[in-house]
Formats: sequence, C-alpha cells, structure tokens
Amino acid sequence: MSLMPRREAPLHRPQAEPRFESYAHLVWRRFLRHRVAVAAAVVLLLIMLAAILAPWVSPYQLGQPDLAAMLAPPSLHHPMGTDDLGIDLFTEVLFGGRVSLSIGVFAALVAVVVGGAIGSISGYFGSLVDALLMRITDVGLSVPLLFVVLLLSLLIGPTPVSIVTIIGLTSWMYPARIVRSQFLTLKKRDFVEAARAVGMPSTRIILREIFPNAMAPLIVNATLLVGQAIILESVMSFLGAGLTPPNISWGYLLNQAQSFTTSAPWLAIFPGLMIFLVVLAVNLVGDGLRDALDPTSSQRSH
Amino acid sequence: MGVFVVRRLAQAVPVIFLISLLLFFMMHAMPGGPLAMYVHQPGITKAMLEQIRIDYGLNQGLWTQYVDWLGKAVRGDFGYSYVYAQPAAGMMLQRLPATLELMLSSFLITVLCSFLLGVYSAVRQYSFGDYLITVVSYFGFSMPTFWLGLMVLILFSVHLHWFPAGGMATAGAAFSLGDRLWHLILPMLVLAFYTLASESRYVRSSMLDVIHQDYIRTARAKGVGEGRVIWRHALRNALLPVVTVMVMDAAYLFGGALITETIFSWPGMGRLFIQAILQSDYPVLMAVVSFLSVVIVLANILADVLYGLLDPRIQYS
Repeated sequence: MSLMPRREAPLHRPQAEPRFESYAHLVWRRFLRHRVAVAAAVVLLLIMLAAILAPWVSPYQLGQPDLAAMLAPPSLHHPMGTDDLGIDLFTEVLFGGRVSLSIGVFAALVAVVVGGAIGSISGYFGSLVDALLMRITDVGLSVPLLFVVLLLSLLIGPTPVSIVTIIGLTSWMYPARIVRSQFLTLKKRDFVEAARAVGMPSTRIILREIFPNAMAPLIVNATLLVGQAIILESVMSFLGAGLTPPNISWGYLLNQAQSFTTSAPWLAIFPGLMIFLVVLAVNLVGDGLRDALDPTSSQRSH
Repeated sequence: MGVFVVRRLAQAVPVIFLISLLLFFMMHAMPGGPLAMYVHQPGITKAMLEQIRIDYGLNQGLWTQYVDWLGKAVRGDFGYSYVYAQPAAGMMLQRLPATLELMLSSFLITVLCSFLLGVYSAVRQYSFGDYLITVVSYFGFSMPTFWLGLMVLILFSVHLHWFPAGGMATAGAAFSLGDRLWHLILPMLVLAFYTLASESRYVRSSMLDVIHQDYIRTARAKGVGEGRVIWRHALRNALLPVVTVMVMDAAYLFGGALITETIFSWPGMGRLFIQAILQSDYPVLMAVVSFLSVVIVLANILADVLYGLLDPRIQYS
C-alpha cells in the first residue's frame, strides 16, 4: 500500500525523459575515467605552462652566468645544477621547453594538415588520383626517415621554421593513410550521397560532411606525432644537425652535455628526463583519447 | 608464389626510382649545393672552383647528371667522397659489417625477449608481471634512444667502469671474442630496448587474440599439455602479424644504429653518415640513403612474402 506513491513519483520527474549527451561531453567523461591519462594530461599541462611562463618563473636570467658556481651539482640554488659557464640548467631547461614543445606541436600540425589533405583527396576521389597519391605515400614510407631528416637539415639549414617543415613533411604518411581509410568507408554512407544529390560541391562535402566524421583517429595520431616530433628534433640537435643558440632545445642541451659526462652528469640527465616525461605523457594522453573517442571500445583494451 | 614475388619486385622499381629522383633533385636544388664546402675554404679561387665543378661533372645539366648518376648507382658506383677521395660505396660497405653486427645481435635479442615477455604477458594477463612489463614497455617507447644510451654510458662506463666507453674492440689488442662481446653489450641492449618495448606489445596482443579461440580450447580439451598449447598451437598463429612488424623493425634498426653508433663510437655506417653530414660529403650521404631505401623497400617485400608463406589461407594469384 505504502509503495504506491513512491513508485509513482519518479515517473513525473522531468529527468525521466531521455537525455541526449553531446559527443564532446561523452568523450570528456570517458577520458576522465582514464585516470592515468588524466594524470599525464595534468603533468603535460604543467610542463607546458612552465615553459610558456619561462621568463617569469625561471630563477635566473637566461645566459646570465653564476661565476661562483661553475659545473655545480644540483642544489637548492640551482635545482638542476649549472653548466661549465655557471649558467643555471633549470632556467635553460625551462626555455628549452618552449623550443622543443612548440616544434613538436607545430610539426605535428603540419603533418596532420598535409596528411589530412592528401588522405582526404585520395580517399574521396579514388581511382587514378588515389593510386598516384598512395605511391607517393609509399615513397615517403620507404625513405630512411632519420637519415633523410638529417640530410634535409644540412641542406636547408636548421632554423625553427625549417625544422618544423622538415619534420612535418616527413611525418604525414600515417595520417594520410588513416584519413584515407576513413574516407573510403564514409564516402559510401547515405549522408554523403544526400549531400551529393543536393549538388554540394566536392570541397564542401570533403570538408564539412566527411572530414568531421573522420577526425577521431586523426586526433589520436596527431597526439602521438607530437611526441615523435619532439624526439626527432632532439635527435637532430643532439647529433649536431639541428638547432643552435639562441634556439636552445632539450636536444641541444644534451648535445652540449656530452663533453661533461664525467664531470657533470646532471647536464645529461635533466634535459633528457624532460623529453622522456613529455613523450610519455603525450603517449598516455593519446591512449586515453583513443579509448575516449572510439565509440565501440568499452573499457581499456590493451 | 614465385609470380607474386616477381610482381612485388616489379612494383618496387618505380618506388625506388621515385626515391632516387627525389633525393637527387632535392640535393641539387638547395643553396650552396654540392660545392658548399669548397666555397668557404680560404685561398680558393673562382678558377679552382670551376675546375672542381668540371671534375665532378657539376657543369652539366641536372637531367644529364641524374641519368649519369643513376646509371652508375645501379652498378654500385656512387662517385668519390669529396673529403677522402675514396669510392663512396666502398667506404659505406667497409662500415657495413660493424653496423650489421650491432643490428643483428640487437635484432636477435629483441625477437627472443619479445616472444618470452609477450607470451608471458598474454598468458598471465592482468598479473603483476604483466603490469610491470606494460609499464616498462611504455617507458621503452617513450624514451629517446640517444638519452637512454647517454644514461647507460654515464652509469656503466664512466662511473662504474663495468663496460668500455665505446669502440668495437680494445685498441691495439689482438682479436678476442670476449673483448668484442664486452664492447658489444651496451650498444646492443640500448639499440634493442625500443624495438623490444613495441614488439613485446605486439606479441602480447596477438597472443591475446589467439588464446581465446575455439581451437585452443579444443586442444586443451583433448588433453594437450599447457606448454604445448601455448608454444605450438597458439604462438604459431599469433606469429603472423608479428613477423611483418619485426621485419619492418629490422629496417628501422638502421636509424637506431645511427644514434647508438654515435654515442658508443661504434665504427659503423651510422657514424660514417654523421661524419659525412658534418663535412657535407654528398656522395657518401647519397650512397648511404640510397642503400637504406633499397633495404627498406626489400624489407617490405620480404614481410609480404613471409606473411604469405606463413599463412596458407592467403592465396597469391
């Protein structure tokens, strides 16, 4: 008897109506469930913030030597030690982060834009265009990446812009293949047929109809590309074919550290640790995004 | 099968041709060009530069130069090093055994360990060991090889003096296998680490796909021993996708070798390449890049062919 009113109450609540969750909200919720990825994202944001705010948060001015502390080990005054000129490594690492991180982000952006364009055109138009573009992609994938990147850097001359271009233009092949395969399935869907039927131009169909639906795997790949680009740039600078001052990157700091492996190992430890941390965080965030963006994945599926 | 191999090889020809064309014209279109290093030498005159240009055939048209270069390249002639005046291909081949020694030993370690770790991880899914391997492999493919090398060098050579700080053998000493191995261990492990991290993941996920299939349950139901089920019935089928990745990674090892050789002063092809980069020694650079491109294309074909050989379901007609 007493159950009657209780059973009735929920039926009249407005929440009982079906609520539609937006895709972005769903992705956000699923990402938050991925604790490791969230932690990695927080670490990544903190490092980015520190790099952006380097001029304000660094304890010393860049290039201002502490003559009382040359090759000093890490201490309270110099959290990461100093180099042979007495320059605070922590300050250099903060400023180096600006160079390394921005090169990583912009190079990935170039790769995604170029790869996205090539993949879209190839997948949408098919036939001869597709065959030609995919052969070019094959060529890109058959080239020994590191060797070619070093060669190009030697030839063009290493500047931040040229490095971004070189890395971006040698990393677009995977994004291109991913977007192409998305387009191959999506272009046969009804909504694309409908768009074509009402006479929408191809460019508009590609950009407005298909591309937004093909984005999810591309975003995941773009995240991973940022990490790869950071490593690639640091390898170039480490080997002496990359950036030089005033553009100090983490790779350049490691290049300089090679002469002091006996006397000042901290010079080699900290810049590399930053690269490692950032790339690890980027990879974990990428993993979290993959699970969050994929509507078919239930839980972590590794 | 034979027809398939021939067709795959035929498909590779235009790719290699495009690569060579790309590399050749890229280099000549750049400012400075092949003579960049002579231009800035003290005491060089215009007449001398012109003579060098003629000597190297750089005064001819680009197409002529390319056709000339390609014709020779096919026969293994990449011209003479600008710095050492030796045949570029010869210099490269001289360094190749050292690189191969490093790469092959790394590759063997990688294959062996990735199977052990991957299978263990899959069989004991979600166990402590599985989590540990997962974490370490995440570290593995997030860690820049050159930094790992630098850290290993600082720790084990510079501070602990357990291993030599570089080179292939003790200078001046007579050949001894122990000495060679002692020099090989650090660079080999550093080079293996990255590929090991990714390949053990491939083995794991491939094993996980297989392990829950009906025929595995049938084998168990028949009373086949667990070890035999895992290592014979399951692994054989899990091998398929992994072999492709491993063959491709073998080609990738050249890039890793470039870094490892530089750090451990290993007298291989990678170090030769870096030297050539720092000296703008174009014939050597072209020889190395062309050689590696061919290797990668061939590795692609090999991976496809192996896949077909291992999987009887695939028909090449």
